[in-house]
Amino acid sequence: MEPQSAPQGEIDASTDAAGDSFFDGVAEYDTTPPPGPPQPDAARERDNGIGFNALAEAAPDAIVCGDAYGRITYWNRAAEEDFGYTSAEAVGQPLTLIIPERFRHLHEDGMERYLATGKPKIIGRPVELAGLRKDGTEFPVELSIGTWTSYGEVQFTAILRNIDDRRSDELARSALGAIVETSDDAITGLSLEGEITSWNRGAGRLYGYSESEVLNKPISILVPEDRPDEVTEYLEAVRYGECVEHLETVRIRKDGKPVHVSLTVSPIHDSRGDVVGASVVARDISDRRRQDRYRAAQHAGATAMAEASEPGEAAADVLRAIGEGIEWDFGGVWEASEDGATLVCRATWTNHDLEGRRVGPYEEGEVFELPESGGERRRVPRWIEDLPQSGLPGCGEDALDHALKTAIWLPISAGPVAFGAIQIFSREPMLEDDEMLQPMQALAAQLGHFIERKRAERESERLKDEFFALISHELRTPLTSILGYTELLAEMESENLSEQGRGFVEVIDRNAKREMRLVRDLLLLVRMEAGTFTIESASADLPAIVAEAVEAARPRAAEQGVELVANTESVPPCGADPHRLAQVVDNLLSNAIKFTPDGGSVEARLTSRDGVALMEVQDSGMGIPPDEQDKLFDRMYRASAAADRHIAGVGLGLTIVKGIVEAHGGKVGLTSEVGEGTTFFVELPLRPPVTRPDADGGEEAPG
Amino acid sequence: MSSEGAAKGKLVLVADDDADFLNLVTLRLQQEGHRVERASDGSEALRKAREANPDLCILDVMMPGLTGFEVLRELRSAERTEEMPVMLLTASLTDQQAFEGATDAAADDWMRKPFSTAEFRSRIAALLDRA
Repeated sequence: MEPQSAPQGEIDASTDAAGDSFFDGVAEYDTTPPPGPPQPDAARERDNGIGFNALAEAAPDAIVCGDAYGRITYWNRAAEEDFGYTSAEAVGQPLTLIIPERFRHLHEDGMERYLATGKPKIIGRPVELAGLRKDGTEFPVELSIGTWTSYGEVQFTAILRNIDDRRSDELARSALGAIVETSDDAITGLSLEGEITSWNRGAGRLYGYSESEVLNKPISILVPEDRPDEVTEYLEAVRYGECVEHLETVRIRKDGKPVHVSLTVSPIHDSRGDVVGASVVARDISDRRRQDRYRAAQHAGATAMAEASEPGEAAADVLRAIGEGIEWDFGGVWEASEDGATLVCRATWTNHDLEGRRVGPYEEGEVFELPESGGERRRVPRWIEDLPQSGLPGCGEDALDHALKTAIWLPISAGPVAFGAIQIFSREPMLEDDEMLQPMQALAAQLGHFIERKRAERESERLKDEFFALISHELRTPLTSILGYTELLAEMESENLSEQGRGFVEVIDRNAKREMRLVRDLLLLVRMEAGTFTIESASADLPAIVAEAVEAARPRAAEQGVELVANTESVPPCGADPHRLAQVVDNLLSNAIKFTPDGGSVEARLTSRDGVALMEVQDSGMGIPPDEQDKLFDRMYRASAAADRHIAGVGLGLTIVKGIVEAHGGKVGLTSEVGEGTTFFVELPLRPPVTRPDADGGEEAPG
Repeated sequence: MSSEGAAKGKLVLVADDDADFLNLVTLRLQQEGHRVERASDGSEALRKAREANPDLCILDVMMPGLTGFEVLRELRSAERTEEMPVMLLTASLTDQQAFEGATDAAADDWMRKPFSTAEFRSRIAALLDRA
């Protein structure tokens, strides 16, 4: 409980301060001495029977009662909070306590008028004023005054609503406006009809239009012709209260250039919650897209290099990847001659938007004589804005003729070795951009390493080829003479030889032929593995091939005590490699004979049906266990029986068979039963024989 | 032993740096009733082809000096020898592609060593019959 004396002292001061105020006027008007301020506690506890106190204490607004003398008679909790005076401090004080100096005359005039005329000016109607706090600060209030009479005396009740919050809403709104205005994003307001209702500075920057140029214009002025429905569609969504987020699209700037943007469109509601428009926030994603494109270019270039078989192909792919990645207009790949004196254009690229037009200053195959100076500058990546000064291909008057403005020069090199360069032109003047130049140069450098690697591979491939050509020649030449002279011996000197001598000649012949087959298989396998194996397509007489192979195998079969049978149907001549097919039959027969025990039999069959020839070699041998069947065609795989029974061989025959048959577009397989025997089969498509264009008859079958 | 109906008494130039093989081919050609001119390297082969104007040249590919391909090219480039029948022989398996290119362009036939005597006879006969 506050002691009564302290506020009393303040009352005097206030009364003095308000000497020319409302209260004097009241005093003039009503000479009845005032009853004196009621005790504050009494005032608080006083209740008119309708629960006023309870209501007032709970009210969120300050409620202050005053009497006809202008003294405060009641002061609720909200008033304590808003003005900083306790009830004990305030009650009994003049109302001017809480009115700033500059508004006091209004208060006085109002009181006077009311007391004189009974006509309120502000009573019943809220007005906005300022309230004065104990600490001297002010805050905005909305004042409503009511009057009532108690014990024959007029009483005023003032409700002072603190509208500081509302102000801060407004402040917040204007702060928000400042944020919108200074945002980097382009923020536009639209009516539901798509007319522009607001336009921030970001929008001005992004699109190039000022606010006055676009206000009330349709937003479609920014939309490319090929996307006519985009705005209608998002406005439709907005009408239903929905947002459209991160819509990636293209807009056209005032200067006609496209800009890639990500849009977020949200509805604007009025105070009743109805959708009255849309806000469109556009973010410029050109940078991000550029980064994405550079990454895509690097990926495309790396993929091309992984897949390309030769440097020229890779270079053309990398050129395209770079051109498309940076979206310039024309480019070329230049290969340096070995002496470094000239460049030759190996491929060109033109932006697909310009296809069909002659954009570039040069074509594939063009030769550029390098000036003697400037070699160093050609070996570093460059951004060229002054084309004629660069001394590079396509940069002279040609470039001016083709309206080319900027070029980049990306050397293709590996260490100190320069293979050439990739050059890209733009028809626009472009500002130097390291973020672009660096990844593209990295790609060109990668190409340099790729070319270096390919050249090394090619060289080692060439050395390998040379080596095998030599080995092949050196192994076969002596065998040719051994076989040839053995044949001559048997033919011409047979009569001069003893029975035993003739037997020796047969042994030489058989073993020389075996070695010949081994050398043949080995060299063929090397070529298959190197990927250089090709078949010579000629006219092949399959029945003759089978018959000859069977005859050639007869001595071996006889030696093993194996019966050898041929059953061939007539099959039309087909386009195939007769020597290789002979090798297939020969290998299958050799295997069959080797794996068939004494007293067994081997049968070679040839049939055809529906344009497919079927060649089978069946033996009554030991059979092949199922788990070994799949592996038979693997290189160096030898059936377990071969090892168990010391059967000679190196495990190449079936690999060769498979390679040859597949090169002919055919297939090979087997059926086998352990203890019963094995049948290998070969299916060959019967293609018509190819006649050689020069028709020299050299490939004609003998006879 | 000779092929029936085949031309006889023709002049055949055989060039090979392997003397054993050269002797073998010579013998086989003589068995067919042909005359044989011999050369042991490419330059000699070219000279003798020009001088003797044979009915057929059988050239080994891998020879010192000029290769069989080079001799062939020289023969084809001169008017007097451009239509001379030429058969190339190779003991190599790996130069097939280069070989086919050359033969398609210029050689009349080619064979890979070793070959069967029967096939050799029939091919020779075919070339000489055409000549």
